[in-house]
Amino acid sequence: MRPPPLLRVRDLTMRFGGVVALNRVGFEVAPGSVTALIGPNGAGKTTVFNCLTGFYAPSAGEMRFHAPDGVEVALHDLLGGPWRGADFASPAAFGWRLYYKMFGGAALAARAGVVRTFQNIRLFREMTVMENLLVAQRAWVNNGILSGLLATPAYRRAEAEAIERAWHWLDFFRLADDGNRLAGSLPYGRQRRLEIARAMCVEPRLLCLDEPAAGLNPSETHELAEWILALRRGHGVTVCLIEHDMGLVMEISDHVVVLDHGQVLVAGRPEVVRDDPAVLEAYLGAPEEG
Amino acid sequence: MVNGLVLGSVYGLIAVGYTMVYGIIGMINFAHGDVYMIAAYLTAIFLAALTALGLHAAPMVILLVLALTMLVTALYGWSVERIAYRPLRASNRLAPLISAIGMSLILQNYVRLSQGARTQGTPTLLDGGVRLFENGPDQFVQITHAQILIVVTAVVGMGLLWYLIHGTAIGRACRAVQQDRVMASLLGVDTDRVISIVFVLGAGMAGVAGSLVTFNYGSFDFFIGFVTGIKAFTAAVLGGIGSLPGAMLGGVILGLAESIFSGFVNTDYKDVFAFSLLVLVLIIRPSGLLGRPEVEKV
Repeated sequence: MRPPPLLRVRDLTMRFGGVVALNRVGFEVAPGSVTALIGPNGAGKTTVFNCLTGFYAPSAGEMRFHAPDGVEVALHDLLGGPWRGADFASPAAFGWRLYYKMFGGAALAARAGVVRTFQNIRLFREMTVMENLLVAQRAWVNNGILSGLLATPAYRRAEAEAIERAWHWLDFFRLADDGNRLAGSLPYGRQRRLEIARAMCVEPRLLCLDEPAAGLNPSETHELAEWILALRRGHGVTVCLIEHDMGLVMEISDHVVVLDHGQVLVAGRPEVVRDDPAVLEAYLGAPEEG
Repeated sequence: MVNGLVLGSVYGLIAVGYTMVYGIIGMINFAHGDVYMIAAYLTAIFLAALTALGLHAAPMVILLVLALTMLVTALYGWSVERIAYRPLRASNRLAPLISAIGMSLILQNYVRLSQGARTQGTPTLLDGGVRLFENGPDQFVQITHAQILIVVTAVVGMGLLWYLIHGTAIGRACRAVQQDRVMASLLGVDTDRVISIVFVLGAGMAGVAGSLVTFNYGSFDFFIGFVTGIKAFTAAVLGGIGSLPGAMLGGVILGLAESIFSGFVNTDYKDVFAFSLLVLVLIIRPSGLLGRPEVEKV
């Protein structure tokens, strides 16, 4: 029997004024898999990511995130969407809606274990590589002004752990030599790696990569593929990625979801999707590197 | 010269609040000067309370009053952010600005109504001073103990703040939020909490400034926040808004310029001179002395 999906997206709809960016999108992400979202430009791939990570509050639909420890997080609620009829049915529903309205935000999605990277790199450019990784760690959550100023033992322990974890990921992505450089001064390929390393520091269960191979040369892309597979093997991370490089998609993904005009066109194994006539049509002919 | 340094430290302490809030949410917190004014009143109240309780040892009283004032003004800073700015976070940039002006008027008038519009005073706690460069009975430079207290406290306060921002986890989070708020929140940083903390720190610093000024001059009214606030804001812009050392430097330069000008030229025109200086600096360096030109976000 297949394990239950890590993420189940159902009827996800996103409207911006009159424009329907996503229309009842539904797909599942199996735990430990690499799922690719592909489709022509403007198909709504990035919008799906924005909804998943709490960037946008979706207009309708649900995104349920099943963590391995049995906790189920309704990602669509985290941003405190509009009031619905169901919220008034029970005091608990009312309370949660009110809570998310007041305290909700994208940070909660990250803490639930959904972390993303961006198509255009968004590092903290004025901070060092190390600091970029430290910011991403939860350790600071329990640390206020006083514990930092007084350097309490608990604070120091948390800092030491955070630094150790940061070194682990620096080594993993072969960035260890750059620890004290400003993130903005790194070459492009390393900035990409650093962004993934930083996302890993949040200890995600679902890592969403938005065009991780954009602007990388073929050998860097190949390295990236190996890293993604290694993350999945060695760290139990489930990966969801948007990518235009069909070679990379076909090489590493287990499941491909094709979006077009805000709707799911086809979903299935890469080789099935590749030969699907509807997909070929959406791309106006054959994919570049099928 | 010494007066200038003292005045400058006070401007610097307040300017830090403007600069930090601007750096993190790109908004000018007009109610900040009034937090400083409230600190002056609080200092007088706590002084009276402690004296009534029978505490008279000056160092002890000063420390306690500073701590208490900081605590309460920090609370003010937190509440102002919570009430007036957070609900407007998602709206355009003008809305929180207007809300800030409104908050400033509310604080001024609430103090005026509750404390009266008259100028209030406190007894001086620290008498005497140190005389330097004495050449005869009329030629000397006198530095009062209160002035020393102001400069030392300002330097210590700035040092602690610097360490907090650059050496601790919470400061790291502040800097991350300053650079890219959305990204920070996507990494699990609770940006609302960070912004609150920035307001708390800024207000705490303004609280220290208010206390110190009350120790030194001993008189204040409900309107001091406006003028001093504008001056501190000028100092922040002068030093490069968004830059912490810039705020302190801007404060000291502004204070020195004012007191030197009023000492050697004319007291009445000292504000004109101070603001002319600002205009000049901005013409030559539009981003302030230590400011960086806005980096285009990709």
